[in-house]
Amino acid sequence: MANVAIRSVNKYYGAFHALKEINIDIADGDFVVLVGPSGCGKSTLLRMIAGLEDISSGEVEIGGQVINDLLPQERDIAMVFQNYALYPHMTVAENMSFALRLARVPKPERDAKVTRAAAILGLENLLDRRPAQLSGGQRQRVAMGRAIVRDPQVFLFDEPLSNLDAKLRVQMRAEIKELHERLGTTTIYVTHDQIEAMTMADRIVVMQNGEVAQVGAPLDLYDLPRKKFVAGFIGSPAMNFLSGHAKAGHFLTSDGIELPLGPNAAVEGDDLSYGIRPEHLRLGDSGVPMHVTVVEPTGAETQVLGRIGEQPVVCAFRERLDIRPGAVIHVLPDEDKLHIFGKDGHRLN
Amino acid sequence: MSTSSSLQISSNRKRRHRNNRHGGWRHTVFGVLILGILLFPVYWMVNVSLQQGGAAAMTPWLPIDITLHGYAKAFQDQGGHLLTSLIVASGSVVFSLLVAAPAAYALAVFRVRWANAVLLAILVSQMIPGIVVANALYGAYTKIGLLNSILGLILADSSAGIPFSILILNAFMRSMPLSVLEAARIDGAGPLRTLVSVVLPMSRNSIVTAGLFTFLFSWSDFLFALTLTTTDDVRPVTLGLYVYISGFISDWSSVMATSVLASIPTIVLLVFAQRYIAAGTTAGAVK
Ligand SMILES: Nc1ncnc2c1ncn2[C@@H]1O[C@H](COP(=O)(O)OP(=O)(O)OP(=O)(O)O)[C@@H](O)[C@H]1O
Ligand SMILES: [Mg+2]
Repeated sequence: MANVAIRSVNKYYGAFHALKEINIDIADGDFVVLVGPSGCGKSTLLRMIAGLEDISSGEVEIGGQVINDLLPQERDIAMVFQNYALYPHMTVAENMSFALRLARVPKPERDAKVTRAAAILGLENLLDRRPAQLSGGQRQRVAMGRAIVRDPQVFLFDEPLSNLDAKLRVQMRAEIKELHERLGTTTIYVTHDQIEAMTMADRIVVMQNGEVAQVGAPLDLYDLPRKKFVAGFIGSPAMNFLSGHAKAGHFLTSDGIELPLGPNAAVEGDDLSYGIRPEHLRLGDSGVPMHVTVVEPTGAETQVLGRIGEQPVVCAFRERLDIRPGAVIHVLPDEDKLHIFGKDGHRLN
Repeated sequence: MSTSSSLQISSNRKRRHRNNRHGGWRHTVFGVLILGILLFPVYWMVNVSLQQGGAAAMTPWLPIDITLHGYAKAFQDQGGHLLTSLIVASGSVVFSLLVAAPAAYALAVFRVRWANAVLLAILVSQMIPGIVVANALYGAYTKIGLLNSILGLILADSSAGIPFSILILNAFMRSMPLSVLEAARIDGAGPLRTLVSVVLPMSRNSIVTAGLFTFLFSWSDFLFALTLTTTDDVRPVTLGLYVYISGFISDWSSVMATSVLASIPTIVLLVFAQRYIAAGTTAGAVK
């Protein structure tokens, strides 16, 4: 097992600057999730760690050793691909033991490792099958088994669950998490699904346009997003943003509606975003008027979509409410849970 | 085409169904007729080969009086030529694939500069008439002493087999999921090991296809054999038959028997290779 350090890493594809000065420190045994919208460079970074892309500049260290110039197999990593990338002509057992055969591990030891991995993943009865004879979830497990048998320093996952249906995805999510708890191997996991990131990660790295937007524990990112982008990316339903300006302790939306600032009265400026999560809006007798357009009871909560002035807002109420579209309700933002962002998207409070 | 027929199915299912059934036997008769015409020469070849020698046109329509004398004579006269053909054809298959597989792999997988230009050049090389190549080879072979040799014929036939195989294999290898090769790289396989343990097994069907066509080409080659052999020492069966016809024009039964024998390897190969041709082998690799 090992820590991973990414120092001032850049990646250029020709003139295109795909990754810009990436710095990430990953502690030994951590489960780190790289998350971000499509094209932000998550896969590129992962593949650079794996040795499938070269590093334009900067250094990547695994266990204190700079691995920039090492071949993939010398880096002691294992990777699980989004599309599984199994060897179609080999059985499950052969798929899992291929790396060990190449490393000239003696057969008894190889068999023992495959048996152990198969037991962990519940693949014991499938060892003689070929990939074509497996379901998607089983293929996914084989891909993981192939990584486990190598007992690497670092596991790399590139969106391993995105080809599975929703239910299986939730199940595999738990399995991967459990596997990590059991093996304790440092893991870097790429996804564009923020729920996956929130539920699985010890630490999340949010990426945007080839840059690291913020690094932190899931709840830290949720509670204290440093950037508007992170605030909007983490959390579901997404945070509401109301644009407006603040002056002398008053926040006025662009429609001229006043919103409370509470302890953030010192914030001032034009072109601000007033961020409040749907679950931090309470229903009140007085407060900010909101025109209801859609009501979505999900059972656990009631999501109310509407407008404050002309700006769209979503509320999530715990209670079961009898609100109809077209009604006007009054909502009160939880003043301790406000997120105010400046014009450049940086947090002000 | 498919949309219009599916429209027809949905809007007019009943009538179409009836039409189908009723056109069914007519289609069958028509099909059998065409097949009969196409296969008649084959039938006639077998028919004549099984009867007493003589003029082909005088032979009875049905081989009632079966004799294997034609085959005995064919083996005696042409057995060696058949063997030569077999060695030359198999040799060209092996040699062509040995060269073409790594070449196709390199062109498909490594980021080779000008890979497309190279492939285009290979394609263009396929358009050069065989007789031009044969003539050029004749000059070269005379100098290096490859005339009248098995090796010479293998190399000549490979001049057609290699480019063709590269094109077929390259087309397939380009469609291979790159992530499988990357997985092999992470598992510790170098380029050569990846070729042998992953790429070639996955390309099995296109290898069979390329090998088969190379075999068929070499087996039926007449031009190279005619140009590059001058004596009877090394003589493939195509040339053997040609010489045979001019010499023994009165005994058609052994000529036809030789033809039957010469057809057998290709038929056997086609039957065995059929299920590999055009079927996929990457199933289950990804997604
Ligand atoms: N081989 C390449 N050549 C040129 N540009 C590339 C190459 N590979 C990736 N890119 C670019 O680099 C950027 C990052 O790509 P990357 O695959 O890392 O995105 P990602 O964050 O993994 O997205 P996704 O969630 O869609 O997988 C993209 O803008 C992409 O177009
Ligand atoms: Mg990606």
